Amino acid sequence: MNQTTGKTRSKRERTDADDRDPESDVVLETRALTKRFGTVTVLDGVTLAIPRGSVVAVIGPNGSGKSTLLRLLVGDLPPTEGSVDHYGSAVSRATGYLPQRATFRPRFTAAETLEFYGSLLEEPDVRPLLERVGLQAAAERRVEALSGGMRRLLGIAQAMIGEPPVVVLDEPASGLDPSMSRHVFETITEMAAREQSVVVSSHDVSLVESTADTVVVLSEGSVIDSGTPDAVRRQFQAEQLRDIFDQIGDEDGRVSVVGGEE
Amino acid sequence: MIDRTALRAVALREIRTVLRTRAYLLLAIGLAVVLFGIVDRSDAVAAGYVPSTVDLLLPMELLVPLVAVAIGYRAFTGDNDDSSVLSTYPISTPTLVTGVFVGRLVGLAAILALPLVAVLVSVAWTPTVGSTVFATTDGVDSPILFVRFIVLTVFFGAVVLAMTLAVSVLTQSSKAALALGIGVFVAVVAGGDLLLIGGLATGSIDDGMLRWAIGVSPNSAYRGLVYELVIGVATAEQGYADVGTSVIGLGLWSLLGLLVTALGIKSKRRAAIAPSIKRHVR
Repeated sequence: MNQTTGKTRSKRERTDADDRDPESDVVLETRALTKRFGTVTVLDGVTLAIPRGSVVAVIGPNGSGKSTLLRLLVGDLPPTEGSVDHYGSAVSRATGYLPQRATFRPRFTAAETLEFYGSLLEEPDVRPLLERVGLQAAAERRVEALSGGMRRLLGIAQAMIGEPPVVVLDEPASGLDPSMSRHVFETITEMAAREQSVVVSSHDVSLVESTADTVVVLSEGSVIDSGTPDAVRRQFQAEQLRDIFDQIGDEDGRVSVVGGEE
Repeated sequence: MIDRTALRAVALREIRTVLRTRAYLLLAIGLAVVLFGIVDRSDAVAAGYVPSTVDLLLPMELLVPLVAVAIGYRAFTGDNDDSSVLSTYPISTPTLVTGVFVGRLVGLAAILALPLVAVLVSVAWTPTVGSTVFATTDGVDSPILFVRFIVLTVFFGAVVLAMTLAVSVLTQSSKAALALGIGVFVAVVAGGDLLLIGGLATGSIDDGMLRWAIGVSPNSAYRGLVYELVIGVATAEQGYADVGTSVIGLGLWSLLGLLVTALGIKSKRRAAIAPSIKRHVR
């Protein structure tokens, strides 16, 4: 089932990227995005439109294709079928990205790590980003001495360098304590307030619920629903977003949606 | 095509990586100990620069590829693989490859050259006839000849490093890179010579062709250049190898290694330039 985000449901009627209204607030759009690894279809015909300044959360069980979708959005993987279109003014960095497994040079300090990436954009002053993610106290600590959670924060700071119009974060709160997770999602809200669009995958659905403008529910590589957190909850007749995980996937591995399509 | 700012940033990151890796420091110390052990046992230091070169040539044919593989095999794997993140920055493939190569080469050059410079200084401090003569006149031992040996050794190291970078970018894990790196080491150290011997044995290479054929294999090209430009100058016995062919041979091996590295990076970045992913500037 192809879906689009709630904010742009009417705009997605257009089919040709070149015809998109110049005044449109969509900054990223996918059409029938499909990814196969050999004979295994990991993502199947995903169509999305991401508006400027919005937070789009991709949720779903493990193996539902969240990371693959995010990798396709940033161009880390080529799609088997379908397309990804970015819209906007010419910028030095179109997309910021925190991969699921971000690797940094272990013997470099957090500040040096950011300074390196900043230098590629000729943006030397990247230390404020450490402050924004709450890592200022660890600025001079080597990456190898950072905890897993702190490395995630460093990765988020890296994704923010150059203020790209689209920031894609794969499990940014993974390994973080609840307080830091909240801080990360507050940072995401701040980014959206600066007109940056954030696409985030997360298992922390309570934070997703309070932060996301749009929730995209993935199961077995397909979008089974999308919309505002309230709309998605209503669709699944769930009190909370986390309850919909119980409803995804029956014994045969098929996806069933209460009150929705099968 | 090459962005100087990004090139400098990448090269500096590689230099710092090499400087901060304890294993490389141990490698440098180990190499220095081995080289000094060799020249000390043979009294080559007292004999002069060219005798020291003669004693060090064969060990360097083994040690240079070993050090170059050690420096290069993880350049694009493990903790050093940030290709997913780098693909979101405006850095071209030639800039990235050149930056990594230059940065690692600086580290490699330091590891190879510093012990050799120390040997040179030892020879200079040990009273010999040749140590006071700064000239390249035939038949005269000279520190200039040993400097040539150092330069040729670093050049040889650069060739093996370029080939090792290709291995690093083509493999998915550090273990696979190490295994293939060992393959490069064996191929460089023994493969070329075995092909030459095989060619001579089967008659496909005759004696007249040998001095050119030597330039085709990195190891024999290095050896040929050292004979022609260092040892042969002092002993007045030249004609072992063709200098031009050997230089071109080493240069082509470097270019091949860097080209394969660039193609490997480009293949990793194929998604970002795929026609299905478009950027529309408003």
